[in-house]
Amino acid sequence: MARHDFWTDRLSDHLDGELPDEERRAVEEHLAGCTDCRQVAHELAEVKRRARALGGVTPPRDLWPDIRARLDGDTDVVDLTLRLDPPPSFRGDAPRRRRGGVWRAAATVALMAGTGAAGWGLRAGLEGDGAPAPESVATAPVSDGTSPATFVAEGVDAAVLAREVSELERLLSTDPAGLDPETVQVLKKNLSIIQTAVAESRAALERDPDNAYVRRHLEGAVARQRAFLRQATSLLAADD
Amino acid sequence: MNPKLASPTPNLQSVSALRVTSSTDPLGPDAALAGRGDPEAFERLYRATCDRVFALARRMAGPGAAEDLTQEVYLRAWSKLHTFRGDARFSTWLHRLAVNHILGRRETMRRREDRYRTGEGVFEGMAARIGRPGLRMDFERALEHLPPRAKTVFVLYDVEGYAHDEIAHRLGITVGTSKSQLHRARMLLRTHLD
Repeated sequence: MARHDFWTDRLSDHLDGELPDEERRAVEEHLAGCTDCRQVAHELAEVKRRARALGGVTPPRDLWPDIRARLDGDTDVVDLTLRLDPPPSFRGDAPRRRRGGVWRAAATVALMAGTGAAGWGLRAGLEGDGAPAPESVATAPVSDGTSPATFVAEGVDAAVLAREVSELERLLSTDPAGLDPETVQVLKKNLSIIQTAVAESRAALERDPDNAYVRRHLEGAVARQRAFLRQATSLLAADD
Repeated sequence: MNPKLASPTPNLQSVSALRVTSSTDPLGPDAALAGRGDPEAFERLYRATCDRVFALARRMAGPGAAEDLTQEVYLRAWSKLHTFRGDARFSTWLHRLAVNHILGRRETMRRREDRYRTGEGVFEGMAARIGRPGLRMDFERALEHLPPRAKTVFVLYDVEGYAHDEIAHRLGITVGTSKSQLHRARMLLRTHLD
């Protein structure tokens, strides 16, 4: 049996033409005199033939309606939200918030999760493979919300948007008393993410101004950025 | 029957070397339209290619994960279509994207697949009884029951036409391991030939 194993272990390589000449000749000499190994070789060849003959498989239901419904959304939201830092108050460690009710923590959680997911989703869409999130997000520059833009989004005043960004940055820099410092850091980080995403969308649109997909993404990103700014500013201003 | 994806060549290096203009790619015009945000063109691309993508997902991930993975592949394709330049056929581009995505989700897939079987021993157990009448599985179903790594290598090499060095690179294994896993899969599957 061991001797048969020695030869059968080489039959796939022989079938695929992967053996060097000397080994190939040795296998063929063995096959010429061994009925069992010839049978195995024949079966392996049949397996390979069947595999190559396999065709497509029609899905058991039409998947298009589900796909279509998600085309305009953030396709990576579910996975990407898992990448967000969990809110410190919910990590199970000792409560660190100095004051403020549970509802504030919950609001902050929702704000962080929603914004971060949108930012990641946008980056994924623009950068291509979408799987690995950038490792350097924490150090990503808080971007150029104050820099001039040729296009921000339909109906959005770039100057107003820049002021909103500046106001949030000011509030975040004042060490708001109502929130755990770690939570503030996460908000800063998520602001950085979405600012970077908007900047990248704008840069992509400048390179390819007729690309409807990129334009749509930019408008979506700006809308999420504004929602984040409004909510975060409101949250922080209560303690300002 | 829906048009199938172009058959991958046995060697991926030769696939990547292909340069196909949209004029020779029947899906090229719709790929261009979809890249500019046209969902109707993207639906035509889906209709033309979904059988092959679903089959790949089902064979590599099992029936429990195939629908979700297929949807994810097309959502990923939609978000990346602006990068498609027509250097290869759309079907080839989509196929590579699908393989990359599915391989990237291997761990998640494996956990889902475990719901459908209890471990590698199931296959060997069924194989051991294969000689008894009424217990033969068809080839496609037998493939589902292969051990995960052997199945992945088998699907990539024998079904999809990838080369061992490409498979080894993608899976983070040696070429020798890829060959031995392929042989293992074939030896198991040969007992399921009619």
